[in-house]
Amino acid sequence: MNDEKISTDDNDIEALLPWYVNGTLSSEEQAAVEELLNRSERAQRELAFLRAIATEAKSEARPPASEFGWRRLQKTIKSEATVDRRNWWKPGLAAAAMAIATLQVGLLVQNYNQMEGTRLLSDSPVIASGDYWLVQVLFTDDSQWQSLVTLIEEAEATVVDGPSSLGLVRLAVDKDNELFPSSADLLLWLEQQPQVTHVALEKE
Amino acid sequence: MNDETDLDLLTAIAKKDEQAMERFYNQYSGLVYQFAFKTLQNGPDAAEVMNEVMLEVWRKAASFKGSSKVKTWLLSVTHNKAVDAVRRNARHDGTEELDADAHTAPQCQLDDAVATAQHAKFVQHCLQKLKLIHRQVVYLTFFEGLPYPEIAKVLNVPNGTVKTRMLHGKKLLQNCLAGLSLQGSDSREDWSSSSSVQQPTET
Repeated sequence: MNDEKISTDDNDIEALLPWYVNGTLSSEEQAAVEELLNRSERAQRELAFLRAIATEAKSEARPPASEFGWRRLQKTIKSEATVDRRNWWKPGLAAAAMAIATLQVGLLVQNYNQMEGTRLLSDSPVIASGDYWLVQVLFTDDSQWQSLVTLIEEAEATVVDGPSSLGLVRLAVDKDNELFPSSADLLLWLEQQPQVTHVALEKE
Repeated sequence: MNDETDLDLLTAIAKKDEQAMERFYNQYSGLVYQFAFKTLQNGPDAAEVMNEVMLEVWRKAASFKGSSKVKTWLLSVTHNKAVDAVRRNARHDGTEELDADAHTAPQCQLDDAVATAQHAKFVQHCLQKLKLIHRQVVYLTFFEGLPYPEIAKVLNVPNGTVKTRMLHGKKLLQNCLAGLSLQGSDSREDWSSSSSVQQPTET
């Protein structure tokens, strides 16, 4: 039995012994370990033990690459490639969805800004009088808001609400107007506008 | 294969070159499987981890920037996947693992431990009984021959932690091997070969 006392520094150096055995220490660390080994029987015993472990470890052969393992991996790789090819349209769809959402938000914001210059619906003399035709108008998908505003102004109409999720806009037109003697004239005029796809009279 | 060639291989894999992936697999699947097996001590789980690691190489080869050796990077990925598998399985801390607080083997037993360490099956037996954190450090040092700073990178721990884990692992190994020595040479003849590393199995 060896009861030699070793310092903390020696403990730190002894902790490097495993990597002295596998030959990966820096030259300074290696020199420190060798200096310790020269004077410490305990360190020499530890070294002998670690070398025995290392020798047995090195005798263990690395398992060869598994053909089955590669086939399995290859199958996964190929299936992923197939899925990627199948999903080629998804990024495009996502981009289209984003573009639509952006356009929608743009329309809503523009709608809000356009109406800022007008008065509240409740303040409209047309609505207040109660003497108006109420029509539902469906515009083409590619209609620009500015062209709709122009059309509404030409018809001297008031937007009651819309556009709905279906694209419907409800317009109120004063019966006492100089453009349309009757509701039929109003509907005919609206139907003739290129940006209008459908018109219906909701309130006579 | 040197690191420059490995980088070329990874560059080709990043471009989805399947043949490059096969060469990489043939080169490194043994390393990955063995480390996974040493960590998990379970052949099917190790094969599963190896598949996951190689799949990650296929998917993320472009993310390898060459700041570490390919082997270190691969072992690090394997470590992470294996630890995930351990957590999933929650069966790594078996009751037969050696106690990390075990006392240091008396010097008189160290010679016995050295003698017993000459027998591969005893060494394997005692290595298997180490806790995962000790077993990994011992494996990476003596089986893979990695310097301790590389081991720290693989395990994502400080250098000092690697040394401490090795110190504990070494003491536990000494105790285990010295204990086997005390059991006598007769019982050594009865050891089965179950402690050897198994070949990868298809799952």
